[in-house]
Amino acid sequence: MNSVDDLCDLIRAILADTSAPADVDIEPQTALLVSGLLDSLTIMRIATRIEETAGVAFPESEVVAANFRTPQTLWALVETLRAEKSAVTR
Amino acid sequence: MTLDRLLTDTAGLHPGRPALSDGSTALTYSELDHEVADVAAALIAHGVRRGDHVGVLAPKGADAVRAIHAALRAGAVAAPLDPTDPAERVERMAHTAGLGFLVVAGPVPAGFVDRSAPLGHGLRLAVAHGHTPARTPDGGYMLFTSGSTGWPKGVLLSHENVLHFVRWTVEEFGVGPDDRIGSQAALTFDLSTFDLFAAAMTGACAVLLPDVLKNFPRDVVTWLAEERISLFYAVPTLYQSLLRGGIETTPLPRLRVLAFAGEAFPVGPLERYVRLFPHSRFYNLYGPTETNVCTFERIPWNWTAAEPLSIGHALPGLRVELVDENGVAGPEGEIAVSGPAVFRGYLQDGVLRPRLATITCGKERLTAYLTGDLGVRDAEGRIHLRGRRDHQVKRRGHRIELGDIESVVQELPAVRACAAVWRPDIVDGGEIWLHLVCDDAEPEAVVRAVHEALPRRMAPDHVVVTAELPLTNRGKIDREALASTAT
Repeated sequence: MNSVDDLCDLIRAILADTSAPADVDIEPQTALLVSGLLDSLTIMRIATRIEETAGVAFPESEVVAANFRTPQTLWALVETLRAEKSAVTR
Repeated sequence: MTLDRLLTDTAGLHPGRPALSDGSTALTYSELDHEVADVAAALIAHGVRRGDHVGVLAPKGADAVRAIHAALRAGAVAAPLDPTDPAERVERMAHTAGLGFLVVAGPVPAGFVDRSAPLGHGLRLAVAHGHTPARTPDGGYMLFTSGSTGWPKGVLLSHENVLHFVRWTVEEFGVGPDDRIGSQAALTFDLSTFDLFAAAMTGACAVLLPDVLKNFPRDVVTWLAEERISLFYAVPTLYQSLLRGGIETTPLPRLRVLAFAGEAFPVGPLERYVRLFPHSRFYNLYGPTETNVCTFERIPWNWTAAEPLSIGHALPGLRVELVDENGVAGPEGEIAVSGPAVFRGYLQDGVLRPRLATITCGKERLTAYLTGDLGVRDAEGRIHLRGRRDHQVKRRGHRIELGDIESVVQELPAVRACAAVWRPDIVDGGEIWLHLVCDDAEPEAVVRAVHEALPRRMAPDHVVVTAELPLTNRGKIDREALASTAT
């Protein structure tokens, strides 16, 4: 996963498997929390898929509304987690 | 007494105290009372009459609460609806409940026409079109069956039905004007009647959890602390998620009453809670939407997971009996409820259909609602749940209670949550599937532990290890969804 657009693809694919309305398009600035788009199951799936595809651990302390507001805020977190990881391994 | 009088009386006694807060709007009792009066006047001006059924289709927040109080003040039956439900479901619910009017914040569902009647606060009034509205001259409150099988039915409650429960909570919990009630349940869920009306009865503040936080346990814990919540009523699944959200490391000195209902609280996590809040009171409440809470047990401070958890005794003023197939009361059987909490009936296709049975207790005959839940009374007269009448399955000649499988599996150290479901669709004779979430353990090891812990006749045919169990819109484990997962 290399960009916020890849992350939007990932969220779109997960939502396609849920009962979320099909007409919602996921853009970097789409508000993910206002319309009840993400239930707790979907949130966990997104966190798990990010761990698998971005190669970072998604700590439970980061599963907070502020990080899931938009794909952009979530992408900012992924970049932070990656930076922390490379700082540790270095 | 009626539900709408509570707010007016309290506004007279405590005009300046905080009444309602949703994270963006905060109102005193005087402010809320005036705004409710304005909305009620607008409803009446646009044609709402005493006894009409008025739906409130708005996100949980100050606007929805204001509209519910206003519908009650207009003498109507108030019916909270959930705008995140699929449109078709909302339309069916509105139709079956005979809603003549709908207060909407967003789009108007089919079957209603927008009156372009602004009610203030971004709300508008829509009028039924194409179906005959129902009327209940005494007014009341409408909730819905969960409708996990089939479409939801309207559950018509009288003012007294709701007040019976609310009065008891106020007395038992000692609710007062200094309390802050943390409201997390959807307004469509009977738990929220405590949040709204115990506050209105006493001058406490109803603090609504912002919807955007509800699926983030860590945020809910922070909210409990920052909002200084003193009373909290939620389903066990939510309490368990807060253990993962850091509730054990967050000081919550104000939280003095923790009540739960809706499903069984696994004993391990409950013991962690009881130890965590040694000075707080814990209540296990039980009752279907049709009677609201009808039994309760206060959990002793020194309770441990080694002791079975009961649902306790009947609320004062109610009779709760355990009846056999002929409606005769005894030490065990189906839970039957009689008294002022029992609902008036279901609304189906706009018609009120009472659903009452006659039961026999010794020489006495009582009119009661049969819950479908099974119970047994212990030596102290406390009732212990024994599952649903329809959760008992028969496999290869053995009668098996799915709840018994779950209680055994739930006690395995690695298991965070589980649900056993019946799959008659897989093979002839049916299979039991166990869905479970485990903490950082090898799935194979957990499956092995499941089979070691259960007697062979109760062993699941299939174990599905998953990241999270699906939840209903009431926050409980969605068993119907699990029972229809793809194979």
